[in-house]
Amino acid sequence: MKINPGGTLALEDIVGRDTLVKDLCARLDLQSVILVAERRMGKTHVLAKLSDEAPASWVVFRRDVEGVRSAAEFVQTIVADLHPHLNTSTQFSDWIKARAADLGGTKIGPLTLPNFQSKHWKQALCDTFDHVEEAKDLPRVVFLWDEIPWMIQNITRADAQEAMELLDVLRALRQQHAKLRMVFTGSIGLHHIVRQLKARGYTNAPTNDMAAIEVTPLDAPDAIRLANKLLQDIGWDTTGSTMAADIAQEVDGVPYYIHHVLSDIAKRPDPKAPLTPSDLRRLVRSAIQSAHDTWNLKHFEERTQDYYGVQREACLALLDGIAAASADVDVQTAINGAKASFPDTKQNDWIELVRLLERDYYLIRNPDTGQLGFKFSVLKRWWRWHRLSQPIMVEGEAS
Amino acid sequence: MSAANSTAEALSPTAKKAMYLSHFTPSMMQPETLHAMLVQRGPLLQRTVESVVHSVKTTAKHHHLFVGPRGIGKTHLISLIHHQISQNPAVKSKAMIAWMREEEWGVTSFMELILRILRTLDQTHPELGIEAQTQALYDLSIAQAEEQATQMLLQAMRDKTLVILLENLDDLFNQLKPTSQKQLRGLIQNHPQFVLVATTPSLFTAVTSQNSPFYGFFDIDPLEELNFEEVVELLEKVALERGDARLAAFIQSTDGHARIRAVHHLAEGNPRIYIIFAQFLSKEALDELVQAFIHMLDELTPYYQSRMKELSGQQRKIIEYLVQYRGAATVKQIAKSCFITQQVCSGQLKKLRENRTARSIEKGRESYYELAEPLMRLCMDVKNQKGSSISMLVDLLRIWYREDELHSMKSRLDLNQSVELRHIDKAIEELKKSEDPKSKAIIHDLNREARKGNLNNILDLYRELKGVGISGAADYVYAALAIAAILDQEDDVTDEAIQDFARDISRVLMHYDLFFNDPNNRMLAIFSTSLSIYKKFGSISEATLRKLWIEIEDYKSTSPAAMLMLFQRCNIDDIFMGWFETVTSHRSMSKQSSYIFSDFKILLSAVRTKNWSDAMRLPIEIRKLIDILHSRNDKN
Repeated sequence: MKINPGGTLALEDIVGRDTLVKDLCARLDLQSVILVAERRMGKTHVLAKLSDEAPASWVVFRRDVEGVRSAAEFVQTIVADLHPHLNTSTQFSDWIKARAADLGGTKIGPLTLPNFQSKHWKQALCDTFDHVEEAKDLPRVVFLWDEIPWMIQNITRADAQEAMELLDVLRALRQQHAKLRMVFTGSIGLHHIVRQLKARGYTNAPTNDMAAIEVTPLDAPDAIRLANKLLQDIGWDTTGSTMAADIAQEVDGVPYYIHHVLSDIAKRPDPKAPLTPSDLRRLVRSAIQSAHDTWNLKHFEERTQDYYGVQREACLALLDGIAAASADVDVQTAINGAKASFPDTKQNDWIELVRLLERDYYLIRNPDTGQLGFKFSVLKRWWRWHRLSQPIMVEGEAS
Repeated sequence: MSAANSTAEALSPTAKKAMYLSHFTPSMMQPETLHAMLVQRGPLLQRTVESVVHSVKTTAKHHHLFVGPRGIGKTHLISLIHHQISQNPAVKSKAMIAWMREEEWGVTSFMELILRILRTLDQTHPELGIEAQTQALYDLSIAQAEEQATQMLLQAMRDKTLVILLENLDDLFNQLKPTSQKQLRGLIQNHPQFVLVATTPSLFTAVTSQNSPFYGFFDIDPLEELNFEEVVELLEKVALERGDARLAAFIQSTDGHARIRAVHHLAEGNPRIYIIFAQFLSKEALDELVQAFIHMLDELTPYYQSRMKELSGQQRKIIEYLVQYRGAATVKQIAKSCFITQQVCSGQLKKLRENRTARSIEKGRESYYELAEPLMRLCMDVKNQKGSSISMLVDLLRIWYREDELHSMKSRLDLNQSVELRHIDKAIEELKKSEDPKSKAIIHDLNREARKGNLNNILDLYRELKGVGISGAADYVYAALAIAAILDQEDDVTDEAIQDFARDISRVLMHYDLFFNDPNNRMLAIFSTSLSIYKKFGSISEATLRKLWIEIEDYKSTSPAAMLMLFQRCNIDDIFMGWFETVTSHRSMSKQSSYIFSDFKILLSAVRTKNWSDAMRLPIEIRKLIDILHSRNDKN
C-alpha cells in the first residue's frame, strides 16, 4: 500500500469502510441514499467499495457525472450503462435503433446511442426504466452517481428549468420503480444547488425520499491500522510503536490527512528517522500553518462565500468566537459573542446559521452537554492560526 | 528572430555548446547529462517514479503536481521521470506515455485536449494510426466528436494505463472552461486508467479553489530552491560534465566556496541562473555568458510581463517596488512606498505570497517580503534600464574576478564587443567604490550559522573569510566579523544587542569545546567585540560598559592575559587608544581591577608619547610588546 493523498486507491487499500458499506447495502435494499460527507473524506472510495461488494444479484453502475452538461446527455449515459444488460431484450434494442434513426446517434463501439433532443429526454428516460422494469433478470438496479451536484449545476447554467425537471423526474422514477435505487454524492452538498434553484422559483423537495448517510472519519482502530500500513510502506518497524495512534489522533482520523502526514514524513531526508510525538505535532502544525495550504484547508473559509452569501460575515464571527475559546461553548454563549459584531441579526437567523454550520461539517454539538465545538480539531487549529493569528502550541514549548 | 538568436548563429562551436547548456532545454538533453546534473531532487524523483510504477501495476492511481518558479528545474525533473518510467519493464508492457511538452497550450476545450493527447500518442505509437482516424472527427458535431475522440483514446489505451506528463498545467487550465475541466476529471474518474504528472510555475484557481473539480486531486510538491551546498554540488557537476576537473577542484576550494556564496546571494537558489553562471567560471567563456544571459532574458521577459498583467494594480505596484528595492521589505515600508494602507498592503501581499509571486521571511516578530523569483527581478530590472548594463551580470563579474583579472579580460576583447566591454567597465567601477560582495555574503551566512549554533558551518565560513583576505589570523576576528554583519544589516541595532550576540557566539564555541574553551579566548572575544562596537559607534553605552565590567570581574584572572593578546593582535591606533581609555576609566571598575590594566595604561602612554623609559619597568611579558609595537611602527 502506497501513500497517496488525493489519488485513487486500489480497492484492497481502502481501509475501514466495511461496516459503512454493509449499512449502505442494507439501506439500499429499502430506499435510495444521499451519501454526504466533508470533501476528501473518501466518498468516491466508498462508492468503489460498494460497487464491488454489493450483493451479486444487484446490477450496480458507478459513474462520475460531473462532465455531463445536459439532461439529454445524462440520459445517454444511463442508456449506455444499461445497454449491455438489456441488449437481450429485442424490444429495447428495437427502441434504441428507432430512436437513433429518428434523432441521429453517436456511435460508441457497436452501439449507436440516440442523440436525445431536449424535448425527448424525459420520455426517453421513462421508457428506458420501463424496459428495466420488464427485465426479469434485473431484480435490483443501483446507480451510483458521483458528483451529481456538479452535473445539476452544469445543467442549471444552461437551463435551470431543465435541471429542476430532471431532479423531479428522477424522484418520480424512484417512486415508480421498486427495483430502482440511486445513490447521490458529490464534492458540494446537493442542498446548496437546490437552494440556488429555489431562488429561481423551484419549490419541490427532490430528495426527501432518500436516506442521508454520512461518511465519517475513520474510527480510531481503523485510522491506526491505516497509519500503520503507510508507516510500514516507508520502512518503519511499527512493532510497539504508538506513532500510528498519535497520527490518527492528531488528524481526527481523517484518511486524507493521514495520507498527507505520512507523505510529509516520507518527504524528509531520511523517511525512517524516528519521530517523537512532539516532532509529529510540529510536522502537523507546520502543514496547518503553511501559506501554501498543502492540506487544502483554506477552502473551509473560502466556501463560506458561496454557502452563506450575505450571512457570511456573521458566520465567520460565530466561527471565530468558537475557535478562540479553549473549550466547547454553549450555543447561546457563542451566539452572544458573535452578536456583539452583528447586533441586527435575529435570534432565529443565528440558530439557523448554527444548524447550517453543523450540516456543513464546521461544528458539532456534544450530544450530552449540547455545547458547540469544531468538528475537526485540524480545522480549529487552522482557524486559530490563519484567522485569529493565535499560535498552535506543541507540548514542551514555552507559551 | 530575436537579436540574441541571430547572435547565437554566429557563435563558435564552444560558444554554441555553452549556449546549449545555457538554454538548458532539458527535454532535448541526454538523460545521462540530466542525471549527472541533478541535485537535491534525487529522492523526489525516486518517489515519483515509484509512485507512477505503482499506479501502472495496480488499480491505485497517484497524480502529482510540481510547483516552482521559472528556472527551478521542473522540466529537468519531468524529463528524468519520463526517462526512468519509459525504461521500466512494467510501464513498457502495461502503460503508454504521453509527454505534453507545451510551452503555451492554446487548448480551450475538452475536445481539443483529447485531440492533443491523441496526436502526442500518434508520434510515439504510429502503429495505432491515430492521426488518420482523427480526420473523421472534423465532420461531426462538437458533442459527437468529443464522444468519438474519447472513445478513440480509450480504444487506443485498451487496458493500459496512460501516464500523461503535462507541463505548464496552469496555462492549460486557465484556458479550459470549468465544464471542460469537469469533463476531464469525469473521464479520469470513470476510467481509472489515467495518471497525471504535471508542473506549474505557481498554484492556480483550478487546483486551489474548492469549487474546482481538480481541488485536492494532486499530490502537490513545491520544488525548493537550492541551498548553498547544493549549488556547490551543481556547479561541480556542471564543471565535470564539461570535462573540467581543474575547475571542479577549484569549486570545492575555500576560495571557490567564497565566490559561489556571493553568487548564491544573488541568484537566490534558482538553478537556471547557476547553469548559465557555470559558463562563466572560466575567463575564456565571458562572451558566451553575456550572450547566454541576454538570450535567457529574451526568452523569459514575455512570460513575466504576462504574469504582471495578471496582477491587480495594487499588486503590480508592490512588485515594482520590490524589484526596485532589491531586498526584503516590511509591510510598513512597502505600504508607505506604494501609498496604500498597511491593511490593504497585507491583504495584497498575502495574495502575492499565495500565488508564489512574493515570499515572506520571518525575522523576530516582523515579516519581510521579497520577490519569490529572482529571474523576475532580473527581467524587470533589464526592462527598467533599457540600454544600460544588466546589474546582475555586473555583480557576477565583480564577485567572480579580481580587478586585475577584469582588466586583463578587457584587454583581450575586441572593440566591437561593446556589450561585454560595458559590463566589465561597470564591474571595475563597482569594485572600486563598494564593499566586496564576497565578504558581505560570508558575514551574512556567518551571522545566520552562529545563531543556529552550527559549528561546522561557522568554521567553514571562517576559513572562507580568511581566504578572501579580510581577516587577521586571530581566532577572535570572526566573532567580531559576525557582529559586523549585524551592523551591516540592521541600522537600528544597539551595541548591547551586539554584545549579547558576541556572548551567544562564544557560548556556542565554548559548548563545542573548541576555540573558546580557554577563558583567555573568551575574554579576548568579549574585548574584541567591545572594540568593534567602539569602532562602529565611536562610543560605548553605559549599559554595555557595565556588562563588560561584570565579565571582567568574573574573569579577573584571565582578563589581563586576554588584553595582552589583544594588544599583540591589534593596531594600537587612536581608535584603539580611545576604546581602551573608555573601558578603563569606567566607574564600574573596582579598585582591585584598576590595577589589572594599569600596566597597559603605562604602555599606551609610552606609545602615545614615544617615551619608552616608563615602560621599561613593566613586567617582562608586557615589555615584549614594546618590541612588537616598535617593529609595527617601523613598517608603517
